[in-house]
Amino acid sequence: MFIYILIILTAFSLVISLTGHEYMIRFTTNLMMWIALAQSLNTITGYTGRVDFGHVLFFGIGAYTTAYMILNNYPWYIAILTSIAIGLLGAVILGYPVLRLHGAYFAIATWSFAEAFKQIMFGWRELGGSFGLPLKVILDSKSILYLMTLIAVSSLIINFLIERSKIGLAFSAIRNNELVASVYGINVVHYRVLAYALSSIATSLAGGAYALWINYVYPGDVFHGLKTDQMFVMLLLGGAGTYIGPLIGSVILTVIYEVLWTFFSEQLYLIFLGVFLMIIVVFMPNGIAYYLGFKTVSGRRLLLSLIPTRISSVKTR
Amino acid sequence: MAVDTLFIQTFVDGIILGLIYALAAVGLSLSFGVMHVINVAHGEFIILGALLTYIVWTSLGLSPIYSILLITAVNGLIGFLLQYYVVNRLLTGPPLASLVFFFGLAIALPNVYIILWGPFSRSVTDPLLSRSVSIYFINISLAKIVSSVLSILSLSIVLYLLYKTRFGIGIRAAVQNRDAAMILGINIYRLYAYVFSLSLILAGVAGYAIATTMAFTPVQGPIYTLLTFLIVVLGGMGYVIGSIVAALLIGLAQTFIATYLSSLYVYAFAFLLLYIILLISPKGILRRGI
Repeated sequence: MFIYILIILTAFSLVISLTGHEYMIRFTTNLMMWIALAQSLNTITGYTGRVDFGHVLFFGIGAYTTAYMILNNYPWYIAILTSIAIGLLGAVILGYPVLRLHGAYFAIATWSFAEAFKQIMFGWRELGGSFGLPLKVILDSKSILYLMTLIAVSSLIINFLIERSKIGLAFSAIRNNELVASVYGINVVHYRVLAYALSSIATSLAGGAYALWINYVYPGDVFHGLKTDQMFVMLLLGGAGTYIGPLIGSVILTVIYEVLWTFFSEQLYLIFLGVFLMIIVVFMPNGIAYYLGFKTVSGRRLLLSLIPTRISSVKTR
Repeated sequence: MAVDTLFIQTFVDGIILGLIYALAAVGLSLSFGVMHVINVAHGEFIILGALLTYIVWTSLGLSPIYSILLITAVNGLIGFLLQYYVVNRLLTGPPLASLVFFFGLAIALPNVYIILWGPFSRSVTDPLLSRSVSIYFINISLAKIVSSVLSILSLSIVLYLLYKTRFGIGIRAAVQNRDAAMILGINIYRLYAYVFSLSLILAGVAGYAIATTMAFTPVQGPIYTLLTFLIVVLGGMGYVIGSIVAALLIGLAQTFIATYLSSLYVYAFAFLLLYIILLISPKGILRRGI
């Protein structure tokens, strides 16, 4: 099953690149990018149950690292590899303090950090500030398509391997009950940071490839909170906690985006996205993959952790 | 040495900004403290207030002050209907749904604004309101005076409602023990609807103050959501007086940083502060109930 999915994905982008239809190439590149992004959010939110509202941080870091390296005349593959390294470094440094928080506190903390970072980038003159960094064209659209496909495929492989390994078991134990997991000898702190670091890989890679693709990085674009929102809806629509879920979700939403954007306006798509999110969680909390017989995590359970406990009952009253 | 004029000017501006933030934050603090709902679309309702002010000023050609009536009606009605017909059901249904509902709203609303009124940056520059008053070398525009008076008035009304009326007793009872309050005959769900309506009206009035004293864009909602979160977390979740104090502190800090250091990193400082406070003490600095 998994092998067939990989073959279909690769074959699809090969066929598209052979036809040479520029619009379809652009569409497929976008599709591959969102597959990678939704998969990467799945690693932290689906497997370990931490709702990350600031995941776009790594996308922006990846894009800016690649842009900076390109401007300093490094070859593009070195630039992209540096993106992974910086993303991983950021995930480990940030992960240790922030992963101690639970539920809504984790969500708001990651969100506020990503927004703070965006504001810092707006003011950082050496990196273009609010003007952004324009880059020269390095790769043609077909090479970008191959690169994005490679990233999407590798993000799928990462998540597939996590599911089939002891690491995945540890992650789901942490998701279900951290205390019990630690009683069974799982080093909860290390596994949480591992999940955060693994989830940063595909995101910063996709960010780097995005910089090469668009040839212009700008804080208001690469750090835009909407990217997180879209990853989130894709993940919950398809079904969190399984490699197939984000794949389904990102394919559906990218097609819907393309249709609404072409015939109506981008705003309508975003309104649709918001309304969709409300509907999914109330009526279809397990995601589409659940109905196809996959074991997904209920979106309700994931977001259950976000509901604040009654503070008044926690206190000595 | 004579008193530094710049210092006093900054101080006064900071207090005024703090009063505006206090309006926004008290609304969020109420809905969090009473319903235990995290309204991540709070900033979007602030922007709605600002847009309504702009519409009253341009389309109707009236003085922006009249928009307070429209804001009270529109935001209050939206708040009541949302809470009474939607969010209350979500509270009894699946536990996550209210937060996701607001999350979806936060994505959808700015785009509704853009479709209806365009993505431009706006500010209300009414000739009467932009007139400034000088007191000992300090210049304060009339708009700022009006918004701080409005803010003090609204906050006093909220505090009066909370601590001196039966309505307020009901709210405080619901915070302390929801089930006991229900047994004693308080219609919790109608109470929630009134509280949410009040919360959105406060957000809308803050929007009026923002529209008349600075510029705003329809997509600025998340910035105000995060700023009010910072204030509410700093002041203690659900503790109204704490939120007011925290709002004044944040307003002062923002203007002093903008005047003496650089206005580039004001929001970056604020959001980093929120991050750090959450790391150190997630339940807020002043741990008290309403």
